[in-house]
Amino acid sequence: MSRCRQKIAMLLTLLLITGCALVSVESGPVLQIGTVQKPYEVRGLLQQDLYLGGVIRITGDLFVPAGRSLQIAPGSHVLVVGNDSTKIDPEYLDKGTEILVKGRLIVAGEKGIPVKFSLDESTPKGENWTGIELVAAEAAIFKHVDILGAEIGILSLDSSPQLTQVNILGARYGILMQGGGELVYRGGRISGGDAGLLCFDYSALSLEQLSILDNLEEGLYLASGCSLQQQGLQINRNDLGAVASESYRTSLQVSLSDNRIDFKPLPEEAVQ
Amino acid sequence: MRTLLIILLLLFPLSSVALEYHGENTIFKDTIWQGEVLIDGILTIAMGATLEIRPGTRVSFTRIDLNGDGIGESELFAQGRFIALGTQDKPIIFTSAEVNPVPGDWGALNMMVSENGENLLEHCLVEYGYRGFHSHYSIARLDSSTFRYNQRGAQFQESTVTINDCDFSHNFNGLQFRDSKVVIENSRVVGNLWGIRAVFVELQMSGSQVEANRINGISLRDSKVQLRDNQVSDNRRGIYLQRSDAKITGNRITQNREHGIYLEDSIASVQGNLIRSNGRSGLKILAADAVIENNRIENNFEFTIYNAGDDDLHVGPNWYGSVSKKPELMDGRSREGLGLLHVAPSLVRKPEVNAL
Repeated sequence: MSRCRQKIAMLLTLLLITGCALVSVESGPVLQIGTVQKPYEVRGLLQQDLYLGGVIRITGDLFVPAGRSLQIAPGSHVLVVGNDSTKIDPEYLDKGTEILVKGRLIVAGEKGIPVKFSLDESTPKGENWTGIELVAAEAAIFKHVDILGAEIGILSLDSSPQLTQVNILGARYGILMQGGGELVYRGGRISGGDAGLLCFDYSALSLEQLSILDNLEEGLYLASGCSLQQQGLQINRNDLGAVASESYRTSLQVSLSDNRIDFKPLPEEAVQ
Repeated sequence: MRTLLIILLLLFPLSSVALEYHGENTIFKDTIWQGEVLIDGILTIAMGATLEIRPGTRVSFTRIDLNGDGIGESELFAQGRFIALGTQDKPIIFTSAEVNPVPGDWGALNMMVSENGENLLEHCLVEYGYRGFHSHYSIARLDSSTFRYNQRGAQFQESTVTINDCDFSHNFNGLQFRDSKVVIENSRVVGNLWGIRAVFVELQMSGSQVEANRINGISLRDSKVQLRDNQVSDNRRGIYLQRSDAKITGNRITQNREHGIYLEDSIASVQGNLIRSNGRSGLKILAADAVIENNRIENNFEFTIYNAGDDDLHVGPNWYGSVSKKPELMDGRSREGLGLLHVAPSLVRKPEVNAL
């Protein structure tokens, strides 16, 4: 009898826990879909969590504050209207149009249906868009994403972006890591820009099957406080393949080819 | 005598006990504050009135965010004159009234169309505002004051502002301004995301430190600037000028993560500076017309000088670490399409640099 009671009690507990778990599941924001004819337009401070799909048009600086999230569905095309305004608004880091994230950004493309970020055709000639800026972001997840023509594809300040199959093409800087945080980058390429991946301060890089190609300046710059773990990294046809402390020369040797200078060691002073 | 006192008090109301303003209020006549003041809303100093704040006064702002944009709305709005003269021993404090304050808890010390006499802040501490000090069509002088933990330390538009011996530290942005005439002397802009950022301005800056700002140290566009005897160190980019006209003389521009000086579409005279140990190049020049001479340009990690434009550039005599040391150049010899650098022989003696 007591065993029976125990079982009933366990079942009840289980039901209670399950029930609580079910009750506690929050419904996320509803997917809102833009079309070519009527893109979903967004700018300014994100007042609520958003889940967007289809054609999305960012018509001015977009700010995802701490505690809020922006999620982008597979196959979306995010068109950013670039500008060269004189604005110097405080939250934003650059004069151009930027996506500034302190909260959560989930760009969830899928194999064969990536999410694409590019410049809107209404942008004045000669202007581009600033890029995606993570400032102590709560989460930044990019899967199957193409980021085209940004000033800095991804700027990470004290953030830990996770990238899977991401291509950053034609950016002045592909990725710039500053402060702490870890970049996990699995698959994709940074290509056709000025500089590929720059790491300053004490960020950590975990790179797998990443190609850094055809950039006019450095492929990879590793300041002395940065750390690198890599597998299958390819750095080709850049001006300077890798700039890093001498201790990385051997481990990067197989990654580097066809750069004007494959490896440029940081001076002893920089390493100290 | 008693009548005189009453008249004086009526003319210059003096509060030495806690003074509180709730909601929207306007001060229409000259007023003096001393002691504790709480602003819980928007307080306007009307045109023609002067607010004088005595040493040791603490002005606290409550956090009100009715529109949910994350920016506090309590603020002080001076259309009249604003005078806050603390002393070294008894500074005036403008701060958040919150127990756990954060940047942006309150709006700003706003000077709006306040051009009848200088607005003055001396020995003040301004913290946790959205814009610590904000000036629009106004004249202001900031002396011996600290602006910290604000979204922006200070911001000016269409104003004339003189800053002397001030600290702008640990703000999101240190100093931002446009369409203004600004003089900065003997001040420190340290540990912000952006140090100094401005467009369409005339800036004279000397004897100051711009250090450890995480984006750019000094970033100016469409401006006329004189930088003399400053220390610009440990920022991402040291000095970044776009479409500007600059005289950069006697500064120490060292240990910036990227370029020491980056000139884009600018006209610049770069003379007598120490440009050392910057992470990428000492000078990067893109389509700029620059006179570069009598500098010490040493130990920059990638290149001494990088000509990123397609025009050739002549570089005068500089010191590169020793008489025999050649500068490391990036130009059309290394990459097709870039202009060439024609570099004069090194100076035979290391030039002196004045900064700080």
